[in-house]
Amino acid sequence: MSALVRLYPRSWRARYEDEFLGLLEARPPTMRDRVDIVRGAIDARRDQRSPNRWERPVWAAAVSAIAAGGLWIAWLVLSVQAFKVAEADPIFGFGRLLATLAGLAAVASHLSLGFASVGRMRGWGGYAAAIAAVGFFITAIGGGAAALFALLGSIGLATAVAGRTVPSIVAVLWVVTVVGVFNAFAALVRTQWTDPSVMYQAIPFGIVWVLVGLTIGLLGMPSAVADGASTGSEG
Amino acid sequence: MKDEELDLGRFAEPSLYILVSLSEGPKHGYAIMTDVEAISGAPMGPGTLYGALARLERRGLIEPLEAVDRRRPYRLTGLGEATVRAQMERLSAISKTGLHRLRETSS
Repeated sequence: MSALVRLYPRSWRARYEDEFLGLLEARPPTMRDRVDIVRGAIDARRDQRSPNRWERPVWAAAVSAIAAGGLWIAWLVLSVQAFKVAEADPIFGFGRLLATLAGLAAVASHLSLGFASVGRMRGWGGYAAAIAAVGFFITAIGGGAAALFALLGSIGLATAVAGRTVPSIVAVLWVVTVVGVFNAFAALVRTQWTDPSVMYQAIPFGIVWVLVGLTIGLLGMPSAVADGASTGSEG
Repeated sequence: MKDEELDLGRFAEPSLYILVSLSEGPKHGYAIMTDVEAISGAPMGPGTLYGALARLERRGLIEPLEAVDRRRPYRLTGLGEATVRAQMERLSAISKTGLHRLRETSS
């Protein structure tokens, strides 16, 4: 019987194994019970969060935040380079490639940001993230009008995440990040899209997310974030 | 207790039975299983029981007491009691409405 119990995550066993085995001793399991135990083990591995936070997905949030920050920076750098190459290169092919890569980086960055903040994409926050990602992608490959959708999606995503993670530091980070995106776009508009390098102003926000990821990985996740993730949060 | 709020998934129904069982007083796993079988008329597997217990505990609806001889009793928290009461009232209202409509249809 203990072989079946070993299917459960180690941290789950540390909390429940003793009483679980006591129950199985009091009521020897039928074949149907054994199947139920295997199902329970699969569920426990999927749902690795408990009152004592056994095996919460800290590593996933940390990696997501680092990836999000890195991709954020890649998106900005690639966008600026694509703009410059497109101006200098009449064939425009390399510029288009860079722009597409920038768009992909923007999509991956936003999805990673959402995952890093709340553990999974769900509800209207998830739709907002998708709108932001697609908006940034279209903007990056040359559709300037999609920037509006990108901004609206970012605001929606930030609102969903901030609402779920208040009062943790992540909520503040989201607000600051959106302000950063606004600043970058406002600078682009001020220069009438002639000086794309102003987008570099948003790079520090990517660095902040990398630092957040490193902090989460080293020190653990803020409790409000973990709670938000465990209750099926949006973002 | 809205299932979508608590995100109980397939554990929603077993959790409700467990809450009802514990509304009588603290019980350990084996006693809960026996009681739930009596209430629902269907056996509850050990994996389902502990999957539901873990989720209910995490949401602060139940709390563990001191284990005695590998048996750990659980009891409802204040939140758990309020939740099961609200859920029972909701089900009762649905039941009354359903029965009333059935009577109207058959008359």
